[in-house]
Amino acid sequence: MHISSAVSQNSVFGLTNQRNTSNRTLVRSVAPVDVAKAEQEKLSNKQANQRIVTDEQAIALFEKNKFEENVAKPTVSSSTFSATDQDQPSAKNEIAVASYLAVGNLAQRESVQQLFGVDVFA
Amino acid sequence: MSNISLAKTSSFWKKYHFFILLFSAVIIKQLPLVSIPFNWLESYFHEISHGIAAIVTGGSVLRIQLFANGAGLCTTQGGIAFVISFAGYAGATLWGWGIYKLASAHQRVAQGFSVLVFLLIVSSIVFWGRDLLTWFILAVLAALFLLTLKVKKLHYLQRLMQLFGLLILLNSLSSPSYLLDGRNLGDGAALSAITFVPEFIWVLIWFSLALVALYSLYKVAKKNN
Repeated sequence: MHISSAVSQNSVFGLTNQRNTSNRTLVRSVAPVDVAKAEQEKLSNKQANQRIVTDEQAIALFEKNKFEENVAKPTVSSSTFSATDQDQPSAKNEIAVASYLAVGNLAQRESVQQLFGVDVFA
Repeated sequence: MSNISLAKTSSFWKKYHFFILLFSAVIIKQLPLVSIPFNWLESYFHEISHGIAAIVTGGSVLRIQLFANGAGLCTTQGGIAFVISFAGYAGATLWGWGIYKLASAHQRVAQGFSVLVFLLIVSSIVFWGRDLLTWFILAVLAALFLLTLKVKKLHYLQRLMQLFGLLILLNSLSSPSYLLDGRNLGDGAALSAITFVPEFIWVLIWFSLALVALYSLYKVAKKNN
């Protein structure tokens, strides 16, 4: 998803560059200097306009992609969380388990302490 | 004629009953299957002596384990380790000597003592036996003493108890020597660790005690002749 959107953005910018270069070559070969200057100004304005347009398109596309990303992201993250949620106990349960284990350990410790005080005679 | 022979047999028995019983005990000890319950008997009195010593010195008995080959274990908590360790072999000797002496004293005393030992074995099953094999061995020993109580003539009960006493004594005479196997295990090694007196000295003390007990019974028997 991310990769395809990036390619589309690049392709938009690539097209504008090609147009610019083709326009320039045409002006240089036909018109005199002043006309050429005016023509150049026109062209530059056109180019700027074109750039803005293309940029707007790109921005629109970028925004569209971003929006799609934002829409997609929560669903992905929610699905991953939901998978782990099933295995991970809640904090409340974890506390309960910890206190249960602590009681078990106390009993075990007592039995070990008793064990250390034991003698075996053959 | 028959009265004369009966009187002769009776006087022979009275005169040599200690030696006849001792000889019987030695023979029984050599028999492969018959000797097994009597080995268990000595093992039980050895372990119960550890247990009694633990209780007397302020400790408690957690478990008594008996094995088919005549080995045993007594798990205690607290008490004086030196006394508990020493009491095993010395206690078995004392039990053997005591059973013989009490059985010789009077038929009723022999009967009463048999009941006492039976109750001790039953309470050992209830309180200190924790595994199937120990329960089985203790049940066999309980049945053995129950059998002595079922004997119709108290005279035979007396002789049976004397035989048991001698068997226990003979076992406690020979069993300390098993400790001298170079493995540094058992009561001798425990006492050696506590007192720094070598293990063989303790084995020698236990052997001497059993020998003295046997000799005292022999002296009494000889005196009665």
